[in-house]
Amino acid sequence: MKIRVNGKNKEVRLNLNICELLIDLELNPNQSGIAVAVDREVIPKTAWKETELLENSEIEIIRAVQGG
Amino acid sequence: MQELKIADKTYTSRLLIGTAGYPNFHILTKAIAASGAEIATVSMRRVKFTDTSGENLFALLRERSITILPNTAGCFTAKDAILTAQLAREALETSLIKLEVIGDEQTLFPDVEQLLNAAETLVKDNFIVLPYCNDDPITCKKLEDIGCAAVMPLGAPIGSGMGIRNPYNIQIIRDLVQVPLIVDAGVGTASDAAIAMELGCDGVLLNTAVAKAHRPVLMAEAMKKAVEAGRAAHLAGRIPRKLYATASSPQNDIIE
Repeated sequence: MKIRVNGKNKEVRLNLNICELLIDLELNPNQSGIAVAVDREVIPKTAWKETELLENSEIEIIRAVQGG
Repeated sequence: MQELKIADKTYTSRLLIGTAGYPNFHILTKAIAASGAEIATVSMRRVKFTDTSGENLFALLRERSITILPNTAGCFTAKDAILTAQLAREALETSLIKLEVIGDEQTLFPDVEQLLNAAETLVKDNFIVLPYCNDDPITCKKLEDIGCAAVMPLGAPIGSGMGIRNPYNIQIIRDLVQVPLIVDAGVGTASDAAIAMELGCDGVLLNTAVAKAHRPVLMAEAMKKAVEAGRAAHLAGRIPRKLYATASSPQNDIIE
């Protein structure tokens, strides 16, 4: 199915959860300092394993960068 | 000297420092140390999947026990600022948020209407909201009434280095609000920071003045001293300004 991750289209398998998506993207789901929103709703880390993505989900994965 | 208290936490340093725009990570680290700042701002941005620098700002600040103050820079609507704040809380495990809702790209002045809306929502959602706002006493008062933990009026536009353009408004804001008053943006050099503190501000938040100085680490140290000197001068109480001279040396027993 097709989803959007940080503004870019991505093809993923059905029923992929957030943890699996992060691993797919070579991100360690256990690392601190990142957060995920699906369709503009923040999904807490504790719910990443059980949150399955749907077709056309819009995912934002963010972290802290230098800022003023 | 009394410490700076924001929400339930106290800070010895009254200088808050931004982490953007330094020549490199090494200088950033040294500048933060030289500034003595205990609070540093960060922005929230999309993860880059190609980033191999290995630089982790979150880890760096945490290792040094610096309080991380995420901002909502780049947000032009309350809606985006609120989502950014929620993401920051989840990613960085903090309820602190430097709330910025920008109204115009050229001036980076705040959109007051959106700012007030966002502040209200975030305060209700138990955030500790530190809003970047105009140097407008009424807006600052409204932000305090909403429940913001501080007000952070600009001294001048972000990155302009123009100093405190309206010291009289800052003075009025000081009289009007009880929450910490922190000048955020506009500081260009040490004397600007000192002036903010002399006016009775509780703190100064700055970034570009240090990051873009010819020698950032030295400027960070200068800012530290300026904030301390300005605070001391404020507490000491300055003499009134007068147009004409008053001799300081004795006027009697002068030789003839």
